Amino acid sequence: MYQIENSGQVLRRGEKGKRFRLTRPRVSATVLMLGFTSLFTDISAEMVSTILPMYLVLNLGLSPFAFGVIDGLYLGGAAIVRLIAGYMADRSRKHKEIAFAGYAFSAISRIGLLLVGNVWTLLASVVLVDRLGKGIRTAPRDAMISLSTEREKLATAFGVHRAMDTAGAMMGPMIAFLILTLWSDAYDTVFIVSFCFALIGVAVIGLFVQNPNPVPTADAQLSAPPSLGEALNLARGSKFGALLIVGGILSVATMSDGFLYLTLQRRLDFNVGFFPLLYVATALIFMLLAIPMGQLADRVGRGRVFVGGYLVLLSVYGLLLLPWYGAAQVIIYLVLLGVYYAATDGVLMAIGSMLLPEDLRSSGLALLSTVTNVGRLVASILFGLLWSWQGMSVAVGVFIFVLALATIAAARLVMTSGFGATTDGA
Amino acid sequence: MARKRQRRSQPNRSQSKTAPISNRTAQAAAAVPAQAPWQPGMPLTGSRRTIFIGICVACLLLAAGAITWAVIRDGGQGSGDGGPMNNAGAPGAIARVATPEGALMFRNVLPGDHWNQVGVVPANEPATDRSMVPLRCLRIHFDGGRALCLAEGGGPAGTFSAYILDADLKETGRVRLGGIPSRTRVSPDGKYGATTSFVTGHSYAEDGFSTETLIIELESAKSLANLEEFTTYRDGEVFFNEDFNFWGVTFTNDTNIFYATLATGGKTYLVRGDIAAREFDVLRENVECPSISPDNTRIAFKKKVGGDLTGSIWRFHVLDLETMTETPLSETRSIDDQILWLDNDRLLYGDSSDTWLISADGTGEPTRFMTRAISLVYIPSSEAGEAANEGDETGVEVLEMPKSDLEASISMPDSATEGAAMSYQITVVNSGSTTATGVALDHDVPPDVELGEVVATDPPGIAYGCSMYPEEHRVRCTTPELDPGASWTTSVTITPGAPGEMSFTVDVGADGTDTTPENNRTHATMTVGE
Repeated sequence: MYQIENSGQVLRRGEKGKRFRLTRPRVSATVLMLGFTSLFTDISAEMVSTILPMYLVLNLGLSPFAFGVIDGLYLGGAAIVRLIAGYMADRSRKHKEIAFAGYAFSAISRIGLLLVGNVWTLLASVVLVDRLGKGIRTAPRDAMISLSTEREKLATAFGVHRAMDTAGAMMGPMIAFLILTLWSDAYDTVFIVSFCFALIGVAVIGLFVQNPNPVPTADAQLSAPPSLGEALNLARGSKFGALLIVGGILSVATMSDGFLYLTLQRRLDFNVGFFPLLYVATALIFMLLAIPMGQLADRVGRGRVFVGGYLVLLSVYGLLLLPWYGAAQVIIYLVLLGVYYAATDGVLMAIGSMLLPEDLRSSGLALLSTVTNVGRLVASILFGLLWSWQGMSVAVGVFIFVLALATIAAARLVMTSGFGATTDGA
Repeated sequence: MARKRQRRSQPNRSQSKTAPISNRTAQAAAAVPAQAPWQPGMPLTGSRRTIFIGICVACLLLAAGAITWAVIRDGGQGSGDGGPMNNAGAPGAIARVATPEGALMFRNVLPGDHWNQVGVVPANEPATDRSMVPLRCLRIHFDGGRALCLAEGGGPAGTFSAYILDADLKETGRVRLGGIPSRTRVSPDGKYGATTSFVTGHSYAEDGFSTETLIIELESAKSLANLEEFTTYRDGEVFFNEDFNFWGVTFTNDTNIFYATLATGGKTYLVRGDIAAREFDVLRENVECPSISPDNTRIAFKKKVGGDLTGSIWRFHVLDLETMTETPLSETRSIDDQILWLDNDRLLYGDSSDTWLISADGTGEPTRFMTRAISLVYIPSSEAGEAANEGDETGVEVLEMPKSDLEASISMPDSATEGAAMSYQITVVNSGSTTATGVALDHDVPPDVELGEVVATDPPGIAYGCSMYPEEHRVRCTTPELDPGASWTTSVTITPGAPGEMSFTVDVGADGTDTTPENNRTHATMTVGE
């Protein structure tokens, strides 16, 4: 088994203050290598996505709002691709190859950004290729993580992956801004360096990751590939169906980070230039806590930690309505928000993996992440409308109410259907 | 750096005993298993390792090449604080260009080396070659002998600032902005300036948007207020919402008084601001990006006339402040710009690449005023500063405008039948002596017509692209270049939805100056029978 040196240090530091004993996370080589792939790919992706609005506005004279519209339209397309890719991975048992294609798509799109110059229609299709790549790879990759991990370590494995993924997401913007600070207008340099990181990520998955089931065992040879009907049936009746409903409702009641930060800014009236810092702070906490939270979930129950994460989020929303005492409050919010992410993001996928049969793992996880992503998009549209029509307090109040109901429902489901147990199967 | 760890525990389905892994340093990519770690029957890890190292080396070289290129291109200067210019202004540059009629200053968007650079031309000769000053601004406005230039810089990469310049375009101060620049105006006496920037979250789709509008005292380079700090009154009562957003300031001749847009609850309002009292009065609904006429009697603005979650549709209107009556202007496109008065009768506005001239009384139709120039501002000769002696100006370069002569025509039957699909042809000919680049054709159809297929038919294989704007009843087709004497024919299929006389318009433009702009626009009419 492998150990991650840096995370080990992080955890050792964490150990001092906590009674809960943390051990060094042990995950399979596949999880670790997928972690590296995500790390490099996220460096690449975040390098581009942080500067893309600036690039478009500076070079195309495009209104930021127009960019948002296109961004939103693509999200829908990516959701459909994600479901198809997830099912294809199960059917062909070629998770690695499909995930590889997804990573490769995004890498190619970086070169595309360089070549299309300022032709808006071409630029839009380059962004589309990137989004499609992301849609294709997510579910097969998460399925590979779960298929190469023992059941009792699922949340830890997802925690390790999410920690590495988030580390990449934090490094990307820093590298991009460093380049632009050293050499003004060097957007092409940013794109090329971004392509390099993407290529290394693609190389890691292509060379060092194997399909969890490369040589079918006798059992696997006997069972036919899953049919589309079986995949569609996932959503019906089972415990997994209940998880989909709970996950969906919870995400519809979750306001986007952007709106949360905007609310903070409106209440505390700090300089809007600090927005990027808020993202970094939240991501930092998420990164530091992803592994310990995963271990905690494997120890005390994934459902409990998951519900606990939403209780933390609920407390963040509640605090938003309290009077203001000072900047220290912002720090508390950001820490709590990071805890919420660490306790829910990877843990949800771990719960999903517990409930899904192996031959439908990728389809099921695709369904789960699509439901939560679409839920979040709906949530941000709803919150935006509520904010515009009724003001901030009403919008936050409504979201607290819905989130509280959804959390209660989730807690009941955890207790009754037992998908929070550490070793319970599907 | 690679360390070996012995695998300690058992039940894993897919791996072997040992594999080395490096520290997570920047070179972590070099972490390679020394032996086949996964399954029997796999290719030798040695070759995988070689391939991986090869890819990493290639990537490093590529990145190093890109960075070297950035260093060379930068001339070793670095970006410094990333301000809009690298020297002490351009003394006398405006004065030298200005004629008694004044000068025009703008952001040049002609593709090439001077992209986004500020240019100046005589006011009576907008199509002439451009004097480019060493200044790069996303938005610029000039009044009362002072300019505000919104540009990247004044902090870490990704920071934008408002640079305050004198008539020699020399920086006298700066104020940091909260986001991507959107609008700027200077008061007629040069005392105050206003800036609007978009403050965005990580993803526009998920986070919506917010604006920051500042009033800046230009002499001291102090931000006097973020407009959200003002007290707003509606019908004499205090009016407040958390979701207040302000943008689009326009200063009156009484410098203390200005107008702006307030957005709240999904609606926009015209507000009248008082800087000294730090107050707003709400005057009227559905007014965005106001612009007050030089005689202070009318306000031109964009009015939302439709739209949905994906965006708004606007039309320019002029509001008479005495009678409070609105007059729609003749532009039929939805344009997102703060319109500007050239004088008391004519207005200017920019689409994404060109600036258009329109009559303030709603008559006539828009004409292309300048190609590949936006954020345009008129500078009277009295404010142009002192002309420098010849040779004393620094860093002014002349940008020769490419010349072309495009001609548009429509070939359309005289009559058609309601509900029956029919086609007609639009032809663009380059009658000039040089290749026209960036050719764009805008075609307006009447509201009662359903636009079908739009395809280039001749010459075969021409590179082109078309975008539909159904809510504007418009289609825009572009082709990268058109050689002298060459023509470009596009076939349009429509279905007339109502009987009557219908009028169609075609407007064609390219990078650079058109020698006979009159034939760039043409109309055709058709009678639709039942």
